[in-house]
Amino acid sequence: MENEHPVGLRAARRAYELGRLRVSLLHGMAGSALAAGVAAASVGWRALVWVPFTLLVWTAVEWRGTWLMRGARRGFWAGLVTLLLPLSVLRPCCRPGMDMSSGTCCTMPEVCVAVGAFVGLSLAVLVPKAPIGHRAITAVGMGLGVLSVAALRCAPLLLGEAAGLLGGLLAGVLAANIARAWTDRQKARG
Amino acid sequence: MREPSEDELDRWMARLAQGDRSAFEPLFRALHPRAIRFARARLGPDLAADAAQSSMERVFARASEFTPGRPVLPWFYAVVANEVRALARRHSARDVAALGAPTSEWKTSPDDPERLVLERELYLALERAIASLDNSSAEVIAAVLGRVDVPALNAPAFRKRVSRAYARLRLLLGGFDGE
Repeated sequence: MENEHPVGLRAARRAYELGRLRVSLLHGMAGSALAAGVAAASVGWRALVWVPFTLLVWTAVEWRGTWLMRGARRGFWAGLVTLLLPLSVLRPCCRPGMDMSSGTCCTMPEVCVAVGAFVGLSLAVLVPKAPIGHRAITAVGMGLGVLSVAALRCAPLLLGEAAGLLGGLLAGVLAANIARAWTDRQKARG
Repeated sequence: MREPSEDELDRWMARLAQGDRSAFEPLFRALHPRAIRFARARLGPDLAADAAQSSMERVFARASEFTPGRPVLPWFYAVVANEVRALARRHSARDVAALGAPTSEWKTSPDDPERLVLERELYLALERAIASLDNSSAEVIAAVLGRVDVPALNAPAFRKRVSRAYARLRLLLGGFDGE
């Protein structure tokens, strides 16, 4: 049969993967450039040290595609929201202009957890309507999308604050996806 | 095995463009015989296999750029035609005598069953491409093909609309210099 060509099929598959990688890299660069622009304007230039991480994650999820990519694209917008959070929200006991080394300024990682969880939970409205078998990968995609951009926000934060923000975001994304799955099941039941 | 419908091909290509690799193999198996048929009709049997293979690699290399919702066959044939023409040009430059006639000519007789199938599919693919254009562009192309009366416009305005309609059709075909 003329279409039984395993060598040709493999070569076409290789061409597909390379073509997809090229397109993914372009998409990744566009997404990273947008996130870098927002981060530079709102957080400062030092946030840009995390841009390679954003580019790596975006290229990978765009190359993998399907529900991982769809989830990540939604998470991207929530990640952008975290870039706009002022430091006074993440560190409420430290007034603007106060120096951390003065001893009068404190960190409150629990506030970062709460803010992260709030942003993560607000993603419930953006969770794509994925088929049952693809919900977990969609949630992973959302988590990766939000983390890849929120990482830029962590540059000026202390370790505990950064971990709190990212952990809160992940917990929020997970809870939003579980809530969405539960409400879909309730709707299906009638 | 049942021949997949054009709607199925459109769906498979849309899924592949989104990164769903499970659509790759059925799509390859459905498109490869078409590429062979086209290449054989245009280049003859000697070059057909090579042309079809390089066309398939080109199609799949650009699969991620395909816009879901558009018909796949006009896009596919535009890529294949481009690749076949490029291969023919390379060969004719190397050995004009071996290749013979100019590249736009058919290498099979008009009543060849494969050619008839191919011509019908090319015609339908072009029809689908034209149908997916906006009304104004579709009307102008229909007028150029002599199917409807030329719209009541002065000559420069008509030429401008024709040029715009062709540009849209070319965009639909993926920016290729499709036939």
